[in-house]
Amino acid sequence: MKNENDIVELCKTDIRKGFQSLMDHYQAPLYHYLRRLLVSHEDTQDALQETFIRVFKSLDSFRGDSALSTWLYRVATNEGLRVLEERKRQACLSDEEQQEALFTQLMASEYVDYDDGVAVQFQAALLKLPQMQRTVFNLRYYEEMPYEEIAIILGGKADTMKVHYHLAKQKIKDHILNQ
Amino acid sequence: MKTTDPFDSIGKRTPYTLPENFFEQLQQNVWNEVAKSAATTKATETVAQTAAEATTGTVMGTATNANDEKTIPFSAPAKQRHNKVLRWISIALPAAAVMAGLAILPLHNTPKSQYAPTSQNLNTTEWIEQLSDEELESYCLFMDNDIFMEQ
Repeated sequence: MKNENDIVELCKTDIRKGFQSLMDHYQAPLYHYLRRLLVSHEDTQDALQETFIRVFKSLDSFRGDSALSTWLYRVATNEGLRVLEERKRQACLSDEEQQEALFTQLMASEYVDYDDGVAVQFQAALLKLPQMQRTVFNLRYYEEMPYEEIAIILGGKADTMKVHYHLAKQKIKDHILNQ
Repeated sequence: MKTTDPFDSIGKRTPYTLPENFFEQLQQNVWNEVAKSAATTKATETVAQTAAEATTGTVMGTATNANDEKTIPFSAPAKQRHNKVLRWISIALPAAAVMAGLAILPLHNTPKSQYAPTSQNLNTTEWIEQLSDEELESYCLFMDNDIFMEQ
C-alpha cells in the first residue's frame, strides 16, 4: 500500500503509474464522500470522474503546499457542489426543495441497502442539514479530518468548521431521537 | 424513551451500495477522457504552431502555402478548420500588435493631462474611470474606425 508521498513521487517520475496509483488509493473514499453529498450514484459517478480528470490535468501544477488528500478532497468538493448546483438550476429548485429531492433519491435508489434501516435514517437526518454543516460533518465524522484541513478544503477558519460540526452533530442527534 | 447515542450505534456505516466492477469502469472512463483531452491539446498545439509559422512566413514574405498537405497533415474538415484558425490568427496577430502599440504610445507621447494615467500603477479600469465622457466617446470612435480592425 502506497502512502501519499510515494504517490506524489511516482507522479513526478511516471505520471501514468502515479496517477493510476492515486486513483487506486483514493477512488473508494472519494466515492463515498461524494455519494454522501450527492446521494445519487449516477451523480456521484459523474462528479468523481470529473474530479479525477481535473486532478490529472493539473497534477503537474500540484506544488505540495497542502497534503495530496486535502487537495483531492478540495477538487472533489468543488465538483460535488458544482453538480448539486447544476441539478438545482436545471430543476429550478430552492434549497429546501433540493433537500427534499435528495431525500426522495435516498428513499428510491437502486443502490441503497434498505435492510439497514438505521443507516438510512441516519443519512436522512444528514440530508436535513444545511449544505455547509453537511459537508463539514462528512469530512470530520467520516473522513476524520482535522478542522484545519477542513478549513482549507472549504475555505474558512478552523474554529468556524468546529462550530458547524457541533451544530450538525446536535441536529442529527435531535432528529434521530425525535423520530 | 430512547436515550442511546445514535453515533454509537451507527458508527461510520452508510446504506449506500455501488454496482459491481464500478471502479474498473470508472478508471477506464477517466483514462479514455484523459487520452481524448491529450489528443485535442496536441492537435491544438500543432495548429497553433503551424499557424504561427504560416503567419511568420506571410509577414516575412516567404510565401507559406497553408494548403500544403506535406506540412499540414490534417484531414479535409480539419484542414478547413485549420485554414479558419490561420485566417483568424493572421488577422488577430497584427491587430493585437497595433492595439498594444496604441495602448502604450499615448502614455509616452501625449501630454499627461489627457490619456496618460497619473500613477504608473494605475490599471486600465482606473484609467478608463478617469476619462471624461467626451474623451471616452472620442476614444471609442477612434477604435471603431481603426482600419486594422477592418481587415
